[in-house]
Amino acid sequence: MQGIGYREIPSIHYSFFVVLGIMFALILAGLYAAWYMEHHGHWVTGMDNQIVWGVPHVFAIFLILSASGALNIASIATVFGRASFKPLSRFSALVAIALLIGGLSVLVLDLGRPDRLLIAMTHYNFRSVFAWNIFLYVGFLILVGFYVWSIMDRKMEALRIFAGATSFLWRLVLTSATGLIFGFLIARESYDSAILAPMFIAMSLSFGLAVFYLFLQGSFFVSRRKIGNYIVVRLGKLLRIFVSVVLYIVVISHLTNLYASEHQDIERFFLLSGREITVIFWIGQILIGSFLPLLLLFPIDKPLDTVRMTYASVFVVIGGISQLYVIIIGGQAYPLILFPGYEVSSSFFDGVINVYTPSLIETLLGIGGVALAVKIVFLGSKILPFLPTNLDDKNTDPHYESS
Amino acid sequence: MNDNVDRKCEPCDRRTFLGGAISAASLTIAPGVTLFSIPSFARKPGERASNVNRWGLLIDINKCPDGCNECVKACHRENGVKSHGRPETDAKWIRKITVSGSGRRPEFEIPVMCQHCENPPCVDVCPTGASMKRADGIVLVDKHTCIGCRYCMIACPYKARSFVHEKTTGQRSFAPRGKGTVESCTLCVHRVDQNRLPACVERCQEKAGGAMIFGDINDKNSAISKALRKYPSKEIRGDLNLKLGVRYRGIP
Amino acid sequence: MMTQLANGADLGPEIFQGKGSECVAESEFMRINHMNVLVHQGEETLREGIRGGNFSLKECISCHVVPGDDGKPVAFDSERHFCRSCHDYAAVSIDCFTCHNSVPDVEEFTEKSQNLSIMLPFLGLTENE
Repeated sequence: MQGIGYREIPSIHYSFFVVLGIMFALILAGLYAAWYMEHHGHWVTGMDNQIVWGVPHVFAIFLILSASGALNIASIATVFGRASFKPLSRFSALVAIALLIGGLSVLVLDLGRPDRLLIAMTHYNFRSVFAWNIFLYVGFLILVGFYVWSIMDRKMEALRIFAGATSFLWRLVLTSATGLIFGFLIARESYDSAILAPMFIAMSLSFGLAVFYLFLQGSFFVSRRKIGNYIVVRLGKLLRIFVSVVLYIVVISHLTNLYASEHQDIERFFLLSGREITVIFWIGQILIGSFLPLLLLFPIDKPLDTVRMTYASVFVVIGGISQLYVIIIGGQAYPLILFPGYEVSSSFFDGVINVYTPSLIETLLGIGGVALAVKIVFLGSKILPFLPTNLDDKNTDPHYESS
Repeated sequence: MNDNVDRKCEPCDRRTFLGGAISAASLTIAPGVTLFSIPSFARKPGERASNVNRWGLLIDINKCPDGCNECVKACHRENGVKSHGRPETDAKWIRKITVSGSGRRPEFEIPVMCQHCENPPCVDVCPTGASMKRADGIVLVDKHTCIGCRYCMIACPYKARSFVHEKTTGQRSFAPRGKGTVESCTLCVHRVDQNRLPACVERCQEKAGGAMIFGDINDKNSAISKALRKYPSKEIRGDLNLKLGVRYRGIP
Repeated sequence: MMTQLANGADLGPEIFQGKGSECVAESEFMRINHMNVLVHQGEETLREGIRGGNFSLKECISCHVVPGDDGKPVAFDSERHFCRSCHDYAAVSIDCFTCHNSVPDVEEFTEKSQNLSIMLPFLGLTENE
């Protein structure tokens, strides 16, 4: 376990600048999209009075969930004392901060009045889960920032466990509260459930780890460093547990709903008749997001390797976005039930399955948030020594023996 | 005067419609059913709204004529809510819903607007406190602090709220509304504060079925309280236990 | 009708006087405090239901109308609008007219908007239709 050093990304490889350039362009496109939406009003997007939260929210919540999940690597090292993840702690915290900033930017820029951000920061309604979240997000940034400091500065070492434990507890609350944004909604049949809090925690662990791994791969690629197989196998084993848990909770929640006859209509909608929602559920969330990663991560013939882990992570990310799309859009597409057992119709789309066609403009805003997160991670790693110079097995595997 | 009011929406002459049932202080439309009386709530100018009052509506859907849209038109005209020709994003403060049942269940039409809950989910979820309930039970949006997050729209079980998707012009002075904020039925709070009826109620009584009674639910002698005592009424999705200010007669 | 504020300089904003003989408060007070009193009263009206206060934006708008070339009051998108002429000069942006109308109400419903008038026919007192 000796020989771990930390170094900024060296500027020797052109791919670093290619990535930065592309991200810069995407951020500009996202900012343009935000300006365009605010200038013309939200009618230029695919969102309307039926589907009030759209693709920007899918991206924003994906990034926010991933943020708290990405911190998990650092928590495992600091709080649960697993030494082999220790070299990844500081990078894990950086990724967490970057993802959260990316997600919050999308959320804020989608507001009807983003110019009133100051009002959101100064007027709190403490009964609102949303207000708790604003508070929790800001607190998360501060705590993780402090945690990074305690990791990177030897003089702060005494506070590291404290900072790590606090951040860990904070992120559990934060992710639960993000889930409860939906869980507390009695109005919507598909949301009103306590299971959303643990489900969101499991989702955050899974998405966060996948995103973290992709960031790690990317940063190591542009800095021409190597990741040893030991750490890949460790992360892969962790990821397959998380993916399984998410799948398990999803299966259980759908089974529960199927069992209760009052929820059978909405279950039929999600699982069978929901057009694109059904397709995204089965293909995106279940096949690509759950089965493929599990197939890759439970190898029968060959051991886990970087390639498998990378593909699995990409699939988990696609599955995660699909899952949030199904939860957020699907939950709104299914109509509110004003008169149970009756058919309703009106000039205001009562009683119909609402159709959502995301426009390019709101998609650009969402992608802009992702690009912002990538940019922060890469620039951060360029400026400060977040990345370990070397993740060879001999540095990470406690049982490593040179042969 | 019986409950079988003509269900077609012909602008009927109020005088003939009401016949001789007008008494000095109240309007009786069937024996014992007081449609409307002088509100006793008069608040002096400068006095704040208080929980002495609880404003409510009672809508008798048996008297709500099929195909009639007078309350909707009156509301949107009164409050300057205009269509941009895009139904998906146009605001709607009130709408008529056609409800059709299978088998022996009857078909009916029902106007639905903000139900002015006593426990409004929109107020609970609003992060900035822009979504608010006045002391007398009227649920409003403070557009000065609304940031346009639309969480209240997701939280409302009645789809009562609209997001203003486009630039607005020609607002009425008493009903400000602007792009990027959320809005909904105000129960014509500007009229209520002047002891006048909400626009929909006024129009319904004048030109349509007279299906709506507005008044103070806390006042035992108000027409609405008497009617509520006299006949059973229901809340839409009463199972949610939100204690609505808008009650209906004749819904399942 | 059209008078320039006696700033002693041509560079000052061109400000139109209101229709009434005097404002609800001293001009000097209004110049300094109009935003505070408007916000305060707006809040009281909306949240507490207190009506009939002195500092009503609606009254500002209907008193300080500036006629345009067509004789109709100009809206805030015109540089000559009462609020804008000064705010442009002071380079202070305002957020009132994203929601509030910047011109007086068109009185489409005047005959119906009198207190209690709607109740009169019901009371058998008068019938004015």
